[in-house]
Amino acid sequence: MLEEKDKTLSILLLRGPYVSEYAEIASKLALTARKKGYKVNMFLYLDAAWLQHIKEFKSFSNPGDWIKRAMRKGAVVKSCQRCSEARDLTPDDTIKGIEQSGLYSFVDMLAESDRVLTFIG
Amino acid sequence: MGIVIAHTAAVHEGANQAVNLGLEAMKRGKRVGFFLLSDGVFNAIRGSGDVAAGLGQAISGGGKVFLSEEHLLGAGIPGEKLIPGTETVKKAYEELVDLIMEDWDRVIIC
Amino acid sequence: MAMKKKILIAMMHGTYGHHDDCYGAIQLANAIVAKGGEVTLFLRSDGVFFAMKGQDPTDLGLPNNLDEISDFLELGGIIKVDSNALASRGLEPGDLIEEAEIMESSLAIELIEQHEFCLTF
Repeated sequence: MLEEKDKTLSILLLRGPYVSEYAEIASKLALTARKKGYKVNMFLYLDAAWLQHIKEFKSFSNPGDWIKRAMRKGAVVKSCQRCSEARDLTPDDTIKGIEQSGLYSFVDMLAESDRVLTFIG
Repeated sequence: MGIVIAHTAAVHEGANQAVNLGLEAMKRGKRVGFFLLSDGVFNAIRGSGDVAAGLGQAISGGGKVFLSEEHLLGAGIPGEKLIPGTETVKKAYEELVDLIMEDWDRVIIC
Repeated sequence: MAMKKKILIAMMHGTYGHHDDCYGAIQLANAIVAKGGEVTLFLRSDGVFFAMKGQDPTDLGLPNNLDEISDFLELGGIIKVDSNALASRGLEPGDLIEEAEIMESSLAIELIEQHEFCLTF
């Protein structure tokens, strides 16, 4: 049974999948933090919007799978609507449960956070 | 304060700047921890450059330098190549989350 | 949700060659100040190019960073520039917009401590 803690971690991911390990690192941190009972938010910004597109099963470890695992544990994941539109990433072509929303959503995440991490390289 | 380094200095000058920032914080009496993962672990090779030298200096001054074991193994870096005093962490993400959420008051990622 | 936090945004990319990074940073900065938060943009490394005066990317087909900077300053945002990064790129304070405050590199740690979160772009 997960013991919920009264602290929130928000992660701003700025890089897309596969180009570096950042998407995996961010997702694994999100999953681990949830397992420890912290509230976790993730916002997929700029090229990180591509992460929501890795929705199908793969026979190898992949960042789409890691983010889905974090979401199953209760991490809230949103993606930048404008960044998504710029990349033709439509809601029906992305991981279910990732809401495309405006930048103010991330500002709201910031407002309620105790720690914020950004991943860019 | 915690500083997470995930790339080498050759890729981005952020690694150098982050170590200098940590050393400056230590000079001002702050407790500083460094956590190296992903390609950042290459900075822990003894004699590899300014970042390694700075990390050694941090350890001498009482700073902590943590290394992700899974990334060290992945990179094939043997223990004897590492800067003395670094601490290899078996469950990197578990430890890092604890540091971020409960120990460090500020977190810088580069 | 009102935003009351003080956020430091450290920009390491400032040119139109990395347009999405710097444009993404200033868009976020403007969203935070628009919701009532306080933001300092700290220009380090190539981030110092972001505050060059006289930018005109018309022929590049890109929006002008100076327009976004102007909104940011109008909403109370602050811009600080790392003196070493500026000098090592052959630039002088007069090359930048006059609102950019030049700061000794060694004071970066104080700047971080004055803000609740540091987001790196």
